[in-house]
Amino acid sequence: MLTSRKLVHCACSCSQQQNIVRLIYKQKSLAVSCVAQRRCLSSPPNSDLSKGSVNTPTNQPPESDGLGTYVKKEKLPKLTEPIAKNFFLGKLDPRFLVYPQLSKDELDQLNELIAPIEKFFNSVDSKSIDVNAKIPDDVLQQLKDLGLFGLQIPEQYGGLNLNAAGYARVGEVTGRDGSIAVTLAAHQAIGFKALLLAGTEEQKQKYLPRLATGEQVAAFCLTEPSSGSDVSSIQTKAVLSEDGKTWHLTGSKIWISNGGIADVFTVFAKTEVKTPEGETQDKITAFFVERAFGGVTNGKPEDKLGIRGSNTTEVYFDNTPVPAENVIGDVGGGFKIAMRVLNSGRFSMGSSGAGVLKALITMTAEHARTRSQFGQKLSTYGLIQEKFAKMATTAYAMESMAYLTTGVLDTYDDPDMSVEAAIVKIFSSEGCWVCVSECLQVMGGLGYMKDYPYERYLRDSRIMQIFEGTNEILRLFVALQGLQHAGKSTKELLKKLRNPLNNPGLLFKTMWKKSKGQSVMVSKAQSLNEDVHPELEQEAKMLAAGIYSMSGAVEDILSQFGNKVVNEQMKLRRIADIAIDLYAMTSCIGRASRSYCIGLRNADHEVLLTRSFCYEAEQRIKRNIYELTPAKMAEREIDDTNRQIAETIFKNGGYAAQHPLARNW
Amino acid sequence: MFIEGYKMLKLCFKKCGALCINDALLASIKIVADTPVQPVAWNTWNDKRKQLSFSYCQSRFYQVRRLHVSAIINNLKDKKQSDPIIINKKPEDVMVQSGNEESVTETERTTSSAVGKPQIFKQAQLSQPLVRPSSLPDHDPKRITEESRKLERKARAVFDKIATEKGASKPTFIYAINEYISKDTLYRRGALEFIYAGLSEMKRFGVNRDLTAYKALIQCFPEEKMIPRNVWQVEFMHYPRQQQCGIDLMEQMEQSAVIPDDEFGVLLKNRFGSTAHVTRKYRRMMYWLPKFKNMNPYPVPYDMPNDPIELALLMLKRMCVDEKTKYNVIKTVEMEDSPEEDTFIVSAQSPTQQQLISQHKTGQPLFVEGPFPVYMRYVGKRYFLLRGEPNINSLMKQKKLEEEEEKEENLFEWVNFYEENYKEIKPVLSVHEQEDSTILGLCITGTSTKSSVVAWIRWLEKSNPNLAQTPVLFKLISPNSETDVIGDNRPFTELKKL
Repeated sequence: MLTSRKLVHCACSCSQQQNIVRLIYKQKSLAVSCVAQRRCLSSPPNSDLSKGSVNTPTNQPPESDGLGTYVKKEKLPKLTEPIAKNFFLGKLDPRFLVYPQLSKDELDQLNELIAPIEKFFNSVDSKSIDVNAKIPDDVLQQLKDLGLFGLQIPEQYGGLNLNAAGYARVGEVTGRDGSIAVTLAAHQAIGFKALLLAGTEEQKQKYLPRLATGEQVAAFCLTEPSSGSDVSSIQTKAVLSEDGKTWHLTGSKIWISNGGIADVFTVFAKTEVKTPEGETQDKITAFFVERAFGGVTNGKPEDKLGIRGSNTTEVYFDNTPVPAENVIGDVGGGFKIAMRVLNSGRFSMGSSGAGVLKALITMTAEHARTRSQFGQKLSTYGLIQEKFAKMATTAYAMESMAYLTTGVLDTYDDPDMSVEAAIVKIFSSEGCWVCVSECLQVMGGLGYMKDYPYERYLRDSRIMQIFEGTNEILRLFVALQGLQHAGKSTKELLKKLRNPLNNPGLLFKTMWKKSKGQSVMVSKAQSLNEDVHPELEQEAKMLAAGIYSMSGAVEDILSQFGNKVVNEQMKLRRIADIAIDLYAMTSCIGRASRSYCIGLRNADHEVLLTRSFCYEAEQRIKRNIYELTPAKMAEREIDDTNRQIAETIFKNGGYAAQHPLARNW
Repeated sequence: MFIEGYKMLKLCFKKCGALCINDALLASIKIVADTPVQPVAWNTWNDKRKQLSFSYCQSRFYQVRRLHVSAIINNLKDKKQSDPIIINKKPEDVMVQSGNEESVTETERTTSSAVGKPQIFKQAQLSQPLVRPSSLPDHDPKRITEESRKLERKARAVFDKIATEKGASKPTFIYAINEYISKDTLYRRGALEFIYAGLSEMKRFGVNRDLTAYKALIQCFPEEKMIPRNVWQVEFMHYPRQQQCGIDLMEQMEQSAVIPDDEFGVLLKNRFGSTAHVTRKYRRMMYWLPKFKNMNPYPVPYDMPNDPIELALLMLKRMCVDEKTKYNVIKTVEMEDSPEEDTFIVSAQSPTQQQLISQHKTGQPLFVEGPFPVYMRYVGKRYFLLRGEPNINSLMKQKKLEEEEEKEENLFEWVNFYEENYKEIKPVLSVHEQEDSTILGLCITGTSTKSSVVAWIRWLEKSNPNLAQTPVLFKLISPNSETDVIGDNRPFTELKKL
């Protein structure tokens, strides 16, 4: 990152002598917190990856043999300020406008790793997987041989030890077949992730080597018939035997990816826990269950709309004995583990979605360049061009967000990126759905045929909005996390704002500021344009203005509703949408600025993509802000209108308007 | 108060005439007379006289005032002196009495329930010979000639004859009208009296809620003859009695919830023109009534089912807000070996309520209360409920939580719904756990007797084993006593103290 920053400024400020001084000064203060990303894939360049050497990166002596060699820091720094949550306070640390990058060694190794995977995926027959609703055994075996079942498992357990960026990059390739991507994700992104995050050394040593090779496949058993998004209401029970050595698990889980092929399961069940006060409470505990323990059965594979090749079944546990040492984490601490697992897996959806989109854009562009209608190629028509521009812009934003997130994940020590990961998931799942549909549209009738892969991609991409937390739940999550962060940080001011009669001075100040469209919380918008290439000055200003107006909206909403804001879901949705757009803008601007400064191929194209995206995002933000502002709401009350419509529908048990041909007498 | 008195008076006059007037009635009439008439647009009428007679509300007001205050009081005075309206001891009338017993008893029932003091009327009716009131309305008594009375009696006799010979039904009602029209083709003499007679007979023929019957009736008036030719005729009520008759007809439609349609409008227009008062009333009705028709967010079927079980189901479904409520029909004969009576019980209980019973501490009693009245359209029934004391602990906890949330120091310290301890902190109360009590089940029985309700509880014990161990207290009120306000001594008053 340090290098990139230097490059940024060398490239952009040669014409601006005055700026240089200021920028270099800034850079010094930032340098402390900037470290090169060298966390994973971190075996020295000469060590052979395929052998899976057991050297742990932390134990390795630093190479400090003289000048010119970079000395790696022992410990990663802590992330002190959140990124997306700070949007709610009207702040963005300019250091996050510096787009993260891998070191050259890491990148080379990653590319070396990707090449065979890419080659393999070009030969996969996705159509037959979709039709037969099964991934053939030989394909699975090849995936295992490529090491795709142990991407993030440390080398000492035989995995590839990829960092977040590497994992996302592989996801880009595996995403080309939805069924395979989901099978892999169910195995490693959630299946045994709990073990990686919270397992003991013994557990890791016992299970991880076989999981890394794919000898054992894992599944994640959380969802139940009665509890989908509401995790804490699960019914599966685990009872400890009298000798305290064995748990007995009973219950049924539904829609378990890999449920039929998995050998080990991360199962969440309610257990009785004694509170310090002596009461017994039902708390969730995570168990690592082998199928071999007995009492584990599964239903037949579900017939699904998309990702048909992935194996989704019900899984039943009938008094399954689980040894006490297979409890993951603490007894009663399962809920936190489940949340950590889910939060940590989401970021990769951005890159895999972008991977699919990029492949589809290539195919569709080929069609547009070759097909003639009315004597001209499709690619010359404005409506088609607009579609391609939108698709490319969305894919660009998806990628940028995903790799900004992975960059932060890899640079800092266990940073809390749950909000950002949720943002990536929401944006990319929806972007994917819209853009795949647009690709199909460009193909016209061909796209609708089963001979072409478009309809399959469309079906496959639909699941992204549903699984790993539905987009609705995640929007509330983003908004509530951010609002709570903002509320707690500015509690004193908001208390006064909520009580204007006792603070007349503030009341007048508020009125004055509001009349000028300013917020009280933040005195003025940041000037972020100094941190990016001048080519992106306008976009940086848009971003700064967006962040500033967000703080105003947050301040309004918090002072108006206080704790009751949790019930204002329609407003929360808008707040979340603004946060999503801001995060996307941040990552796009940062990436385009970096590309332009270091002169990547088609960097000017990236600038245009960013420009287009920022324009759209600004429009969306403005609209959301408009609908959030109380003064405007009084005239429109669109939320109230919609609420009433919905209430009537539920009261009538369906569509309530009379038939257009109905008569009253 | 006014409405009650008004209904009572109208009934008295219609059915008993001046014969049953006594001190109690006079007192209530005084109340009516003293109570200001307040239709919706009272002030509008007072302030903006320029709009007089044009708006619907004002015309309503006209009628209301004419009907209820001045006319009634005037009539009363007249009646006290000479009884000009009612006493017509012609032989036809006596005959009518014997055939009309059913409707009289029905009147008696409704009157007694409306007034609450049935003895007075019974005595009055017993002591005097039964006389049926004239069907001619009494809002302008001086205009009613002896000739007109004669025509009215004749018209009623026609209806009576057809009713006794061919039975009272819709076809015979139409037949009676056709009889009249075919006999009097040219002048339609006595059309007005015939229509009034027909209006009063409609209930007996069971057509009072049938639009076609009203259409048939309005066709008794001759076409074209009564159409006003100029503005003056329009404003000064051309053919006033006929127009008033049309208005009365539509008033009766209104009261029986019958909405006219376009055809009815054409019939009216052909008889009175498009500008007459009666046609204006039609237009106002067509403006308002279709709007009112669909105003009820919980629509009730236009014709209520005759089967009491279906009716009870309908009423319970209307009362139970829980979507998951299960409805069961139990016959006492099938349920028990030696039932105290042969009746049905319709029970409504949801799984949530069953769960609440299973969580109930058996030491504390549950209550069966009722019968409480429930009405759908014109049908009334009585229901019983099984309830427990309110879940004070949870309610208090919730209330305290709400107050805690309001406190400034807890600002923004909320627990998000996706966090683990969300539900422990926020108890979710079911819809059945209300502040005054926890409702555990509803029922309507065929007889509304205590034994049938006891049978219901015995039946509930099968699906709610906890109920068998719990003392159940029956707090039943006798059907005739007034409904008490229950429960200021209940624990939920504690909530208010907070």
